[in-house]
Amino acid sequence: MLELHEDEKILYEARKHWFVISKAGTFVGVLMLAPIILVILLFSFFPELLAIFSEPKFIAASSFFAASWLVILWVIFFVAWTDYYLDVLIITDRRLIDVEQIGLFRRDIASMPLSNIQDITVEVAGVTRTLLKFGDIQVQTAGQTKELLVHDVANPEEVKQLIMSAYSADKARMYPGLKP
Amino acid sequence: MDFEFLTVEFISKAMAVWFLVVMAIFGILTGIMNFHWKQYGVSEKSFKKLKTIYYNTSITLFGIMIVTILVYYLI
Repeated sequence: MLELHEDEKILYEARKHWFVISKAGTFVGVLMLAPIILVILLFSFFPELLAIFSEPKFIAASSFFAASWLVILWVIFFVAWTDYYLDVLIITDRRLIDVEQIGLFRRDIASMPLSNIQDITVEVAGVTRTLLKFGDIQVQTAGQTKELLVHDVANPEEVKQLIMSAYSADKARMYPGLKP
Repeated sequence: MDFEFLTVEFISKAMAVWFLVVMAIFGILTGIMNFHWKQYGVSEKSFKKLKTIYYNTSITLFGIMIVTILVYYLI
């Protein structure tokens, strides 16, 4: 779990749009058809196999291998989903935390105080992104981490507004006497 | 191409070995994913739902594998 400061609260967790994982899902879906295509090709090139595989024992064996292929694809899909789900931009009342899961054995975490934010840019480019409302958020800061770039965020304009609200609230908390 | 190697004995052994391989792949990757789900901020409610979907589907598929093995040996 992420370690938060004592009185730090999570305001929002922005994840990637579902379209990102749907690409992996479609790929897995296509791979599910691979055994059927393989069988059709085998029977086309080697018709003698048809006689062998018509026997009930071999039908059972083929079903076994097909089910095992589905198990492997199911696990592969969930690995991809875990990778997708663990990429998250966390907005707290103190900072931004960008968590990027790369494969299963690498995790990059970048955090920056809200007070260091200088500029936020949202980029939604392309027909799919425009229609489905997802895009990239770029946060420029004054700190050591010069820039935070998060790809394929769902509803990026709303996330930008949330970050700006959190920034204003943080400024008000740090400088209570300051009037806008 | 000669397919005489596709005997009942060969396929029986192949099924047994392949079952163990699939179990190993499933066990290792599930263990790693479980670690990630618990460690990295998936909420308790989402975690329960996630585990239900994942394990129920996996059990169903493994059930089909076991049934087909039994059918294979009983025919």
